[in-house]
Amino acid sequence: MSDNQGSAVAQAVGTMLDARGIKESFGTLTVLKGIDLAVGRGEVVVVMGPSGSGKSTFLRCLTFPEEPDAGTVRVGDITIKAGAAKNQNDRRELRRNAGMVFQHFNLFPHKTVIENVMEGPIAVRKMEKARARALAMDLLAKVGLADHADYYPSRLSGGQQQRVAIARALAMEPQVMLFNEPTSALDPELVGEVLAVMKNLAREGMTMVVVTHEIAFAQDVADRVMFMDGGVVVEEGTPGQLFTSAREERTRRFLGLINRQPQGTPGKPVF
Amino acid sequence: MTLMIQSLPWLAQAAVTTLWLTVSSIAIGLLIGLAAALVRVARVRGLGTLARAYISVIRGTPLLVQIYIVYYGLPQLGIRLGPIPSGILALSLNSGAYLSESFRAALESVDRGQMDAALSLGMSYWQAMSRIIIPQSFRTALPTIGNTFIGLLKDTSLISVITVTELLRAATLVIAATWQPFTLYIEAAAIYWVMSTAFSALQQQVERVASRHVR
Repeated sequence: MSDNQGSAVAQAVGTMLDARGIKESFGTLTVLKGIDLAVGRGEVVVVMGPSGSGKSTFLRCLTFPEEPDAGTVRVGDITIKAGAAKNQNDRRELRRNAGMVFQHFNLFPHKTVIENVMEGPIAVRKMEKARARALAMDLLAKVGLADHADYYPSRLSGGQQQRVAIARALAMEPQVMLFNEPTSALDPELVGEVLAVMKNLAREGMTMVVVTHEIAFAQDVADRVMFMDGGVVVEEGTPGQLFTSAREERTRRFLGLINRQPQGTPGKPVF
Repeated sequence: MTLMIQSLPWLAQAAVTTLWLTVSSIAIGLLIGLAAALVRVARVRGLGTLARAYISVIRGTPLLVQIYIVYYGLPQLGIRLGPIPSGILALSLNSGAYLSESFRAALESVDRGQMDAALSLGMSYWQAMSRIIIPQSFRTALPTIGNTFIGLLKDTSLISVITVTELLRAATLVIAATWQPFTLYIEAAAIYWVMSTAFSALQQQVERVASRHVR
């Protein structure tokens, strides 16, 4: 198989997300040296790489909280070229299409769980409150937290907060979901519940890009794994290929290192 | 003691004036302060510099001088305001400068991830500010808003110099007629103290409600 098998899948089923030539530098430090990623409808791509490899920056560049120096991003039918005139409406539209889940959840602490989920539909989709509430309850039920709807985030565990954050992103009915190390801020025993929600999403056909070190999750769910280091894509392939017979020494070394670390217990349902 | 009781209705009435002068000034001051803080935090070109200049001038000059400039100075430029509007304008501008510094610190103390999360939902910068960032910063700014309010409550006494009959001037008028400065100034001081203390208690309640989401 070539490295481009994933892109071939993307082309066959229709590309939901297409990033081309993403470059980014902070001062004199070049963080991304031209990254391409095409993700097909319903495809799950896991991005791995050592700390400082640029994977989180890459994810941020996909929705432009981080403006890349160069490159083009398309999500659904919105295309943005970096460096072109900054059209904030386009950027907003693109973000609506791409749900983002953060490492530290970033729930709105002054709003209850259900208000967090309702916020996007009300503020951005201009949905009526009653409809937004019904949608939010459905999503909270989906992530197993319907009975926590009226709690403030501070009363929830990290795993619960991350599940709310997933529901909040889903409330925008995005075409793609982006996860930036969604379990790395969690206590090990809470990792499983978040991964279980993500697995369900993948099974339902959600298009996902997940930056994570959870090898078991990648093996189970990913269609493709992309390994980044030093701001470039070192190699990519199916989880089977990458985890058993990586071609590049850098990939093997990294996988060897994280294999020695304790992993969460993906897939264990807790609700 | 009799004088105290006799003068109480008159002073109480003046205390009401003090109170509404304070409330009006802080209300306007909050708006000015928030606007000045926002243009600085959002780096709105031109306006940010203007806000910095305003804060610098207000914080670097005495309130009494500001009151004189508004009441006696502005008429020379053709802007004639009565004593009460002059007083409210001077007090609002003054408290606005101090409040803007509190707001700026509070806005900047909100975790950066909050803006990221709001923008990621597709909100505009100003939507994110008004729905997510400002409400959170308000809680952080509450103690300083309370302090500014109490400070302002006492600073209203300065506008007695431009003939506004607030609490201090009311007491002074009774003294002119009775020549009992000790009794009446103590009485005025007691009323200021009661109002400040009552407000502090109220402030604690508000802070408790505003912090209900924090474990």
